[in-house]
Amino acid sequence: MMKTPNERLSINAYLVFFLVHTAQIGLGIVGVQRVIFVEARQDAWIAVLLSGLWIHLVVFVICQTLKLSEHDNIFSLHTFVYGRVFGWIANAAVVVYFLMAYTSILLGYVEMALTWMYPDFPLWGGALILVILTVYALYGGGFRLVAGVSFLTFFMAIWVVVVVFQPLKYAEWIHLLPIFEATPKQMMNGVLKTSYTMLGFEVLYIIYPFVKEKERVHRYAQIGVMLTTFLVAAVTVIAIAFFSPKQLDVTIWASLSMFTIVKFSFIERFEYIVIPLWLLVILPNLLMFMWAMTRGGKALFRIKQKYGLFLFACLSFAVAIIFEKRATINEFIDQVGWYGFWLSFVYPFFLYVFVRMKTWAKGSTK
Amino acid sequence: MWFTKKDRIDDVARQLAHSPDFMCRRIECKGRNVYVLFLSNLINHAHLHQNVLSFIHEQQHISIDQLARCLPIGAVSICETEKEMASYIRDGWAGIYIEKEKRGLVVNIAEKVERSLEKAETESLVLGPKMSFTESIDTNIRILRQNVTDPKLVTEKIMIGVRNPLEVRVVYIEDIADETNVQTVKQRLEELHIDEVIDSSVLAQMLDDHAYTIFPQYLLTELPDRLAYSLLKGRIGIFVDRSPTVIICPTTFFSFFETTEDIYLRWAMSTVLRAVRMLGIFASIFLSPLYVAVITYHYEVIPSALLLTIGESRSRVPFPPVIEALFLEFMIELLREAGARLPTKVGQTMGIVGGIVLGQAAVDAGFTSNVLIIIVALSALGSFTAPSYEMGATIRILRFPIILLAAFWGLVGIFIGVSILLIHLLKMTSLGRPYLSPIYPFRFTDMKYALIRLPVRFYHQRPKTNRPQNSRRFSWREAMKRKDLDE
Repeated sequence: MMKTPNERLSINAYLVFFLVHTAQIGLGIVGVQRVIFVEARQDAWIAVLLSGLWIHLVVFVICQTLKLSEHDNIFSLHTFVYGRVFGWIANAAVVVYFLMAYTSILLGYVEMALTWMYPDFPLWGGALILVILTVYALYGGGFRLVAGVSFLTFFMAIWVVVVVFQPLKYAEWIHLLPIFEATPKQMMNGVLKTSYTMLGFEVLYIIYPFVKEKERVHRYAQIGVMLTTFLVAAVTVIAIAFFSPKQLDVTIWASLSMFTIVKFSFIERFEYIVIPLWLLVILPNLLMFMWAMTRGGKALFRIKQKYGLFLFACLSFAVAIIFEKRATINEFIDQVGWYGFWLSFVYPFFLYVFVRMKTWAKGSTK
Repeated sequence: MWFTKKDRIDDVARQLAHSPDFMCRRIECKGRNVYVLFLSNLINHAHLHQNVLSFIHEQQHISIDQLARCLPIGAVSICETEKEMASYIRDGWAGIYIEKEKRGLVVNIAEKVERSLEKAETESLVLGPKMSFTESIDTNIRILRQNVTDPKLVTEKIMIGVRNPLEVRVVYIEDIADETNVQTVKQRLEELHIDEVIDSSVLAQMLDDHAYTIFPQYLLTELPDRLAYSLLKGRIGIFVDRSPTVIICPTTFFSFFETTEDIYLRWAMSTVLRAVRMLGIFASIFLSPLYVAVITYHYEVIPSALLLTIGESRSRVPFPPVIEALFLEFMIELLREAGARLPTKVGQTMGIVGGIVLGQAAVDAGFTSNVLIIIVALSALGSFTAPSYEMGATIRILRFPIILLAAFWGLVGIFIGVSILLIHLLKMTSLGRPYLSPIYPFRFTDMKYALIRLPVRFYHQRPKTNRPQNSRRFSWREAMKRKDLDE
């Protein structure tokens, strides 16, 4: 009211760490082990590390791109580079990606919760609850709320990491040998399959204008990505050591299955605690992607974010109820991973080159 | 100019016509009529006789100006209109009018009824000052000035209420309190166009940022030392006449869980006590929902030995856990509410007998299980540990929707409740300042003011959450200086 919206809405740079990290960690980490293991066998963890390295590079490129011109988010960059019409199409593609990412998390979590805990509950009911939760959070909350939720849920959920190490008692480290057996092609496929788990850092393209200290964004984003890579690599190594190869081939939610052997004097079946707790892990994901969509909606249709919020919420719910079965949900998540791989792992390099050329061309005409 | 004619006295009289205790005393003095008007129920009669009536009698020369100069009374004011004079008289002043004068005079000889200073009831302490505020704003300001002798203390007066005007004082320390906060408070107070305000708790609701939330946004205290502490840390106090509680703002969520005793006790003790309190409140909200969720949906979570005990105690209970829990929670609420409404002596008997008899009978009759009685009693105890009565009441209510969520969707339901709470608290502000500070926005140096206590030498800065203009309290370097051996 009294302050400029810019200062009131902006956040401190250290929050970028939490935003990037919580946007990356979500459903993938619960079941990533099998998907990579099928491709890269016991070298799966190397695939995770390779993909982590790649992401560090991508984050560097993204930050460089944003620094190049006065356009500091992906939507205005697209219009700047491709012109109005093609820029609009590119922006629409980005929004569709966020819509898919949001819906995949929605479906994935509801499906997991229903399979493990509530076999009789309808899928659309669970999806509806999550959509309403998102709308409630963002309506009147905006970006500051997204940042707050990722900051707080990070601390509310990170303690689970300590528990992950309990299955190590039963680890057979021999499962990890021999190292470097995977062929380059297998390894590449492994990296590709990691993408869905690691996606989320592309939100940098959208949160960048909201950060006060622009020069420190890059550092914190890199730290966030590093923590994600470390966690994913850790659960992968533990799962490979814990399960026999044949077992891991058929274990869909490997992390959860490892939790089944965790036991305290007052809690048995620890995974029954973890699945509800995971709501807090996917909450920042949901909020972040929905918020990104509303930003996109503003760029695409010039509608207010609060109207965009309802529009995209209805849209994602509609997409979610189309998928009912595990098989179709799996396919959908694979599609999102594939789409996300091209958009987030590969495209930033091209965008950097385009922006570079465009600014150069503009500079020379002056 | 109203007071040009003699019969203008009648106008004042007409305005006060509904008061049978209205008196008009005529004194003849040097051939001029002097009228003294007052409401006899409101004034100090001894004062009137000694300092007004006798004084007027003794005067040689009499005029309004001269009386205004010489009357041996502190508060004297000259009135231009009879309406003004009537309103003063209604406040317990005496009006003096001399024939053929153009103006009237009012003198303050009011005697206000008030309670004597007593020990604080709602916020009881073991250590520290025991005095509490009373219903009179003059006494309260006097108590405050005794507590805070800082020359920069500002007590600004704002009148609220059209029909029943009420004196409100905004108090803060000029060079500590944030100017924007002060402006916001004053602006909100001045923008209130309302006929009357009953109490400071009502005023606090009118100043709210969020009307529909169940969380209180301003701290109400009756402890002068708590107010003094808050003012010196950069907060703002609002005194309301006729109310023994003072509003402190801006308030954060965690300040509802602090007591002044945390400061009086040594750091280690108060850190542990704060942790106990937080844990108690957490348990108070989540224990019975957890029971409902686990027994209804996920009994696998309970270790088998414990499951046997619970199963045994539940074997005679014919209801689903949610009905059982709601029934028992309702009973506890009933006991508490009945205890609060009854006179103290009856209330205690009723509480003990009702609690034990009803609880034991409920188990014997097979209405509830023993385990649930323990859980509900624990959560009731937990909610009592909230030092603020308002926050305690909020926690009592908060439990019910979460029990229902747990009954619908089990543990996931509880976490949906947690998410909603988290989002709600993150959205909230008090006086436009974030409610969850110092957790979010995260302020590391303020943690010692909210969640833990450290030895006093660490309190060299005022909490950043209040945005003090001047945050330095003492020199950190000197406080931390180490002496050499044998120095």
